[in-house]
Amino acid sequence: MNTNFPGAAGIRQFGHYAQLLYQALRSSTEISTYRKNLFQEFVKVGYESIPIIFLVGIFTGAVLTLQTAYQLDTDIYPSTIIGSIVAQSIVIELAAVISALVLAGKVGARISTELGTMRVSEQIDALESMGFNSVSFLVVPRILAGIFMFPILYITAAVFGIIGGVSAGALDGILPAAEFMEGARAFFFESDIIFGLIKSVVFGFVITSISCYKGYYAFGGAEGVGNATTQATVLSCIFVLLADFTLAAILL
Amino acid sequence: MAKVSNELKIGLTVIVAVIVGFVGYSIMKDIPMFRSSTTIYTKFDQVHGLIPGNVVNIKGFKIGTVKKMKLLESDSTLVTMNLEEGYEIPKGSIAVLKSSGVLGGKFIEIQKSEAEEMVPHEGSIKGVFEQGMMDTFAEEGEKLSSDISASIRGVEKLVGSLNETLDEENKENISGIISNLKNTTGSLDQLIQQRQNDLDTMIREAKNTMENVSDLSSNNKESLTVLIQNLEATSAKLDTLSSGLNETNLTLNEVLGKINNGEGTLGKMVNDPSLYNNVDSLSVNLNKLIKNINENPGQYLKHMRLIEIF
Repeated sequence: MNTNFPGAAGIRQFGHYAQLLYQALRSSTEISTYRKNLFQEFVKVGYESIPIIFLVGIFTGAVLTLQTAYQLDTDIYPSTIIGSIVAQSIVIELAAVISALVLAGKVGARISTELGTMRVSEQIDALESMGFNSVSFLVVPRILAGIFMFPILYITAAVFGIIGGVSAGALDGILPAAEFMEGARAFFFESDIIFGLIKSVVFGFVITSISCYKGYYAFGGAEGVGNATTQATVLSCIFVLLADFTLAAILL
Repeated sequence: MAKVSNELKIGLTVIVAVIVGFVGYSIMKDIPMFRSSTTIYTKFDQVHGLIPGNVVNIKGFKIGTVKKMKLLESDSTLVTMNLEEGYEIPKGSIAVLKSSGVLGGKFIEIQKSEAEEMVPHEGSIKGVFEQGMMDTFAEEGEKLSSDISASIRGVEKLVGSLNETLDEENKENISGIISNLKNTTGSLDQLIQQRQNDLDTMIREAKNTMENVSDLSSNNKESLTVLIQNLEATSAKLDTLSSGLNETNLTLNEVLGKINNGEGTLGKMVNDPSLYNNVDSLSVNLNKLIKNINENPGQYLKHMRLIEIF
């Protein structure tokens, strides 16, 4: 069978990726091997990302408020509609997606560089020869950190996004905070938060697993690690956007 | 300072995130956290898209929010409202469901009654629906659309009968008419082409005439001006004359009126027949006299001795 049809390389890579995920799933029960690593990753993915996510949230909300006010600069709409648009956009889409894109750079690049360097400097082989399950030791805690920490980062981004929106609206004299909140409350639904949380979990999984895969199978010295990191970041962004679209199509 | 362990950091992060998330959720849902609130119920037959989170107002001032809504078996909707601390409404008040703005957002307006007693916590008040602008438009639109569809049916009928008129025979007739028209235009065209020269000459001559008139008028501009001025003066004189005539007329009228009424000599002459009668009898007598003189001149002349002198 001819295995060089167009797209074959991509499919092979996907199979390879699925294999790694399967190994990770199978070894996820060996908690004792990665318990310490898990907490370290939680801190690195979650705790240490809070400042950047705080900034992302504040600025997303503020900019969105200013621009929505600019776009809706007519007397037809009540000004509360600005609050509705900003708050709902942040909760449904922006808090999850912009955070994910920023974290694809911050977390994804770190994971793939770490694992890639360990691979090319043969530390992973050393772990294996000492009898450690390297997937369980290195990959599982990172993916779990993504799955558990991204929702928390999403909440941070959403809360500070709305705070940023309210403040920008009030400080710039566009609309008082009370009006903003009235509009925001009118279109605030639990299902939107759940949708956002689902998105953030999926994005966390997509970013960490792709970065782990690219780093874990890096080859070719320093340049290879660089390539792996680049690919990890780019693929993470692409798949975040694809996943975003798919989820919107399925769940909304 | 002891190194902060990873576990502590994570625990802190998660706890803070959960608290922040919960507080944010409560604020967004307007769920009272640290303040007591009064819950009251109302029932609407029709809620027209009211949703939890919409405001409850008294004369436009927000005193609470819609908290929960439930469709009852009778197809009316039970609405749970949360009133903020410090606001109470009298018993027998009415909750009016209203629309705000063009977009048709809904809110509840409380119309207070005069009662002294207040609605207790978890008490209920009566709810009525008031149509907003957009709803009125929508309903009017429905009526309008039936009118429009009626007109469209009329147009359809018209087109149908037009189609019937345009059956094969008539189609031929119409195309005959059109081809005749075509011929006519063709002949007209030919005619024009044939008499092109004549037409040209005609137009040229008309142009010449016009030019001559124009020349004439421009050459004799001054005389024309004088003429017009004279005419103006004349017309002014005529005006005076006619006003004089008017006066004369008036006087004449007066005189004639007097005559008519028998005033003055002329009046008497016109109106009184006695003069005529006198003159008539005089002339008869004169006739007789002259006749008599002719027959017997001596009778009269003997008295006139003077004649004998000659």
